[in-house]
Amino acid sequence: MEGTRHMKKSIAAVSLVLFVLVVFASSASATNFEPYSGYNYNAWGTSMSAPNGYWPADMMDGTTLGAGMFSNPSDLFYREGELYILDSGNSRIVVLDGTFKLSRVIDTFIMAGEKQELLNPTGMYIRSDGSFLLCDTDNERILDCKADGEIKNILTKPTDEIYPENIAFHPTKVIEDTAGNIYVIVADFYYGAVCYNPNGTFNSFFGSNRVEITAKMLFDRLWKSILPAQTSKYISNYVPVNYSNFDIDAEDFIFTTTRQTKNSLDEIKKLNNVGINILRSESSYDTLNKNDYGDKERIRYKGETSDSQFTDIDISDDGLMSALDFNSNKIFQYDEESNLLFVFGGKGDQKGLFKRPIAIETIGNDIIVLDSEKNNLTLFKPTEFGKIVHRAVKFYVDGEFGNAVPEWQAILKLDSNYEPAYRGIGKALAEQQQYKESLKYLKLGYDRESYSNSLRRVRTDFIKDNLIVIGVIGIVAFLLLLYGKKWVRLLLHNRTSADSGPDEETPFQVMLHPISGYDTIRRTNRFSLLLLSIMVVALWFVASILQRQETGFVFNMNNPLQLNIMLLFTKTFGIAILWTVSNWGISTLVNGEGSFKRIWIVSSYAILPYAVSMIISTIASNVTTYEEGSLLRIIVYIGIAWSLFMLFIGIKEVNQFTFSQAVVNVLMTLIGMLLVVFVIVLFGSLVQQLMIFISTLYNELILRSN
Amino acid sequence: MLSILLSSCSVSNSNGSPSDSGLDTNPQLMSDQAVEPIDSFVKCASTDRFDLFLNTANADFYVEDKKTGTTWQSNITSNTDKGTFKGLAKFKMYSQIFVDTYDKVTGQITTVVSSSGSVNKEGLTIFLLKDGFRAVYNFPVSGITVPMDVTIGNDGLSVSVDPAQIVDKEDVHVVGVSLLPYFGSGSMEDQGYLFIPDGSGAIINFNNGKSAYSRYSSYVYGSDPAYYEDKRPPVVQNIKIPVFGIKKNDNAFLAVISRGDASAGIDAEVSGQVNDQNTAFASFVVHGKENVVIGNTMEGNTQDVIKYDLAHLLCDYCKVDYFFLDKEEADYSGMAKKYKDLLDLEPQQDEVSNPVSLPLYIDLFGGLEKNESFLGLLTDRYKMLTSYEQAANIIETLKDKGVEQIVSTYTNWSSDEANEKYPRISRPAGQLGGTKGITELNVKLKAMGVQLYTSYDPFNVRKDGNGFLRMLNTAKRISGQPTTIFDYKSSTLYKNGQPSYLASPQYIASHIPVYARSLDRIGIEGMLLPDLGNILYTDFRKGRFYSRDAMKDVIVDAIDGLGKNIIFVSPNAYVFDRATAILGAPSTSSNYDLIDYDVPFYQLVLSGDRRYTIPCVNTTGNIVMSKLKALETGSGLYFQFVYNDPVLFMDTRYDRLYGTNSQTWMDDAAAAYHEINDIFAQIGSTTIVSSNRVEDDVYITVFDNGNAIVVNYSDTDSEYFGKIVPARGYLVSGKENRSDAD
Repeated sequence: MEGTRHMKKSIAAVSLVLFVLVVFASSASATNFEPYSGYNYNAWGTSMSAPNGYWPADMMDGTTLGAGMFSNPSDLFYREGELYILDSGNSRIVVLDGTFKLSRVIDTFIMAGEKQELLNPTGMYIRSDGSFLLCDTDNERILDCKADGEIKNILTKPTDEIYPENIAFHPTKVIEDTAGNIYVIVADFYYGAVCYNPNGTFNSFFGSNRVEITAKMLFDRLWKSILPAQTSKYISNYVPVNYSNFDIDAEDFIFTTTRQTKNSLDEIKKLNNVGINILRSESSYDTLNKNDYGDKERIRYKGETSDSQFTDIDISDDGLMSALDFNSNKIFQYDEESNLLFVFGGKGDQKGLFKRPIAIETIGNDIIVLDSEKNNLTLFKPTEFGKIVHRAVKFYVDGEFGNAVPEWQAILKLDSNYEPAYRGIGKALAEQQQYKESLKYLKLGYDRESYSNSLRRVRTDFIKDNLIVIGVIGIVAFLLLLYGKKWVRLLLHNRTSADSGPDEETPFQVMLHPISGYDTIRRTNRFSLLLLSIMVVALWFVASILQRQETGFVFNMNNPLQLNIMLLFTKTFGIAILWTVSNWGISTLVNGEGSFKRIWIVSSYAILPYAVSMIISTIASNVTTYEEGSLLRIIVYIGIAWSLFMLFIGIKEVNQFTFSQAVVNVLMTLIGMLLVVFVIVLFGSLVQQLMIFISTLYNELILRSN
Repeated sequence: MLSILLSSCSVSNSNGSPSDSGLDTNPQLMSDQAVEPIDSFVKCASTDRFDLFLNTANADFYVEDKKTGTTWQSNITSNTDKGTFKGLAKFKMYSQIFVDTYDKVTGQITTVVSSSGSVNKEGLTIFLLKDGFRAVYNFPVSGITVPMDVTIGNDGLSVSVDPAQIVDKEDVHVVGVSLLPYFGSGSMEDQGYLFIPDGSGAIINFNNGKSAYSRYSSYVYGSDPAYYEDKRPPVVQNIKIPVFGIKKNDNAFLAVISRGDASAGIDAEVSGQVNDQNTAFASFVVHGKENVVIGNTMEGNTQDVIKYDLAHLLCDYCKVDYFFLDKEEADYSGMAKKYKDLLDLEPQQDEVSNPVSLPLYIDLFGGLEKNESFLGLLTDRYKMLTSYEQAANIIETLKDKGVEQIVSTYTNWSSDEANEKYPRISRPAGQLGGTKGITELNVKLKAMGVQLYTSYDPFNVRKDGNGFLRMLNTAKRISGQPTTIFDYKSSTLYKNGQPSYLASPQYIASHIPVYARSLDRIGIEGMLLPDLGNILYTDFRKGRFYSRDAMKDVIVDAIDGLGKNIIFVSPNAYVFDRATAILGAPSTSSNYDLIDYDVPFYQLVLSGDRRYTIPCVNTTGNIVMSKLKALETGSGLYFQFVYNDPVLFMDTRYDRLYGTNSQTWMDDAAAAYHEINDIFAQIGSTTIVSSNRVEDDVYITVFDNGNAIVVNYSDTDSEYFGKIVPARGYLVSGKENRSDAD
């Protein structure tokens, strides 16, 4: 016990000495607690839980760094082992060394011996020699400075005639390419980035299609000369792109971010030297929402739609893109091929969450985020999971599929939801000709193309191995084809001859002999016909469900988990009824002979070929490869054509129309259907409004009464 | 006048701790007559160790420790104030109580403080109590009156408010109180820290320069699900232990919220945030409120209406006990020791039989109903993750790998859990092997010396059935809606899918014994209660109101009568006593911006009396860090395993169990078990008695035999008394070594 007390004292002594240090040392936490739960999107754009790829390792502010509290800092830049923080409110640049200790502060900017005051600087670009470009935003200029802050040159608003005069020049972000061309983003400016020559003279606009811009500007000028000033003001506001930020990689590709885009697509672009976006991931594994960066799931809540609004982007040395979402305060990290790797961050008062994140930088694979409201920096480091994913992605991007496999397996150990890992393993298995094994992985990884390739190999092997069985089945099928019709007819006749005689009126018979079949229907009036017709529509309904749910993996672009049976019911029974009602109404007007029941029966019968073709193509799609996809389409097209033909003949026969009468009738019916739909939608929304009103009123009454 | 005060203030010889006074009965007045106000400190009560001095003019008081001579001041007084602050920032410091009021007519919520709201407006009346005094604060402007009792005992000080004695004005109601907000607060000159029990426990240093960040404010035992949210709040670690503390220079106190803890919150602030003081204090919610959104929540034309439940007292008695610690005890380890003494847990003999090694805790997951497309239709189909036979297989394999001590829990093992119905009686899932299978598993495990704990979770109920009707048996919110817990989308943070319905506390309490008896029939002696030890909610249903405190009591009573061994997952302090072992003890705080570093307070309280583990290793995914954490805190390791491919969890509510494949993890689990137990054997103990931070990311923990371990979580090597502590490594330090260095 004596020892314990002794030792306690010594600990107390140690901790007391250290206590003084602690106050100034950055506060790091011993273990990873992440105040956000990781997720990733599956191929359907649905979020799935995932381990976090990054954890907040450290938080630094001006006070703990010994530089004095930051005030509304606005930009970050990492170059040559130094981290530059643009501390706007204090008009200074704070420079930290590689270990995040204060190195120096640049707070005097001198031009020809005269000190220049900054006004709300918001962007900077640091060159490798430490000299830098600084957007002195509210002074409407860009300063080109030496490392010590001495100003070499000042860039101002271009005087070129293609530059719109009436827009204020508030430069917010700046970069420079290897040739020394300077690109500037100007606030509220929609013509792309402003590009200067190395000598500081205006060059052009960058990042929007030049031709379009010129045409548009001509158009603008034309209108401006015609319209009064007040109206023309609105015209210049009708413009597409406003970049929020950009970054440039070692090969002079410029990565841009946008706060808002049309359809919420292409929020991130990778522009080549002529300003064309080459980051189009048409070949991505996403079934839906290709090129949708940031959150794919959105909600509308209290009148606001949650959608990512990127405010900064940084490209790591390994080509990883980390983009900062100003709306949700989250960071989205993508690999070179725009596969989402991790999402982390959020809103809040905890380490790793932000209030107004404004800038992001990567240092190796570490990420630093600047928060202009918390006035601090947060350092994120990859978790174990994050490190493995980074390694796997590097192998994969370098084409070393085999080397990536152990990494993918290590990933699956930690995250069984991780689709790219299944893809990676599947591809490697296929490479080793283990096609059958690869199918499961490629399906889980939503790699339809590789799956299709493996499927073809598996199919070929299957045919090879089962040649005799397939041969026997083939012969039987051939015989059926030759004599089957006769047998079926015998069967059907035996069943139905007792009460109906030789009339051709079952859907299958009508399908094969539409004209005579419909003629028979027109003349008979039996309950069994109605029953059969309902069964045909029911078959159509079932075929639609099957087509949606059971189409082979390669071709199925519907998420089986989002089946809406009511929608499919409406699309089959609803349309059939709608058609019948509309057609009956129109036909009655023009003295058609068809009764409602007859029109229903002939219309329903007409659906049969389509329904059958759907079933055939659905079954076939499970053993069909990509290349044979057109076959499936042809089957369905034949079905549709056949159905349309039957429908037309049916309507014509049952109403005893001439050809041209029938054509007009069909067109009128379609218009009638549209009208009915319109009325239903109108009524539906009225009812909905009423319901909301009633529920609100009820809530008010209940809750306001104390 | 002075003589009146002194004569009525008899020196007490009672040796009760502060928690004794007023636990069953509220303090009684010595006399109905109020004391005349005198603007100076006069001794008002005395015990063997402490004297209480009171200024009857403004209810400022201080406690003097006769042993050490230390004094603890109730608040800043005009004597100690430097006069830097004006207005509310100043009046807050001068106050003994903050009162939140709600005006029914205007709908406004206002906080009034005792100094400017009552004392300065001559609203204070003081009465004497046996060991202290009662200050009755009348707030003339709002027209409310709040009495507060202050008493001393031999261990320290108690402060309490009886909400039943609060007098509301017709339209103005007291909805919350904060007691002694600046008691023992530290100034800019003082050195020390605030201890808050956030998660495992956390330290906020005095004057840490983080004044630009938000204050700390958090509910004890987490927020109440009855106050439902459309959007998910950030991921936090709840307060599990109702205490806080301040270390100020060489002294410290531990404050224990001894009554009304389930309706209490803990606040903390550093200098520069409100004024120049660093302080932590407790506040209590007196009336519950609900924020109801009226209108279509999708559109902007909504209105938030705050509705209070003024008919019931959420907190039936608010009490905080302050225990004073000095010298070597004056740190967070000392606070933990004090709380441990107060809890006085009876050590679990069989669990702590081997003090130098810890068992491996394995949680198995049975099966679930998964919605999937089958022949064109979406149907719920049962998916088996681990059958009873496979469960035995996993345990056997681990035994073969040399893991001698295993404790096994089994989640989602019954058909009701998979179906998400109320678990009225235990019904083994037929798909996993049925009653026969589970009995065989139990026998097999017993033969291997492994005890089986099957899970019981009445909070995962999404369907009617087994006699439970969601509309009838669910607790109600203030608005009359059923109390539910939603799942939230990680991306939008918006509620998602069918919520789980929380049965009324009474319903749960009356059904637990039935369930436990049904377990007897299949011979299972252990129960895993994943959430019963940490979810508390208020049932606002008319005619059967249950506060969180009342729920806590009925749940604890119900558990007491079960006669089962019970394992909780990360439970609150009030069930520590009922636990055989604790899974997933919090290993960090919530990392609020204001916090400087985390401390293993939770573990220090339990160590030696209860076995506990770190959070699940394989779902956190970092085995190195997990092992270090286990060593630092004397924790066992805990893994969650399934036998079949966990890819089955995809597209289900359980998709967070993405790292549970037993085939890939078992070797790691066995190796980690051996590794940490070898080190514990080297240390010679698993019972930790104190902890300290050496530097950033380097911690030292001392065990009960005097040996210690230094753990370095950082990426760089560190040094301790001349010895290298490798990066992401540890150093076992015998007591001799450190004595030499000393």
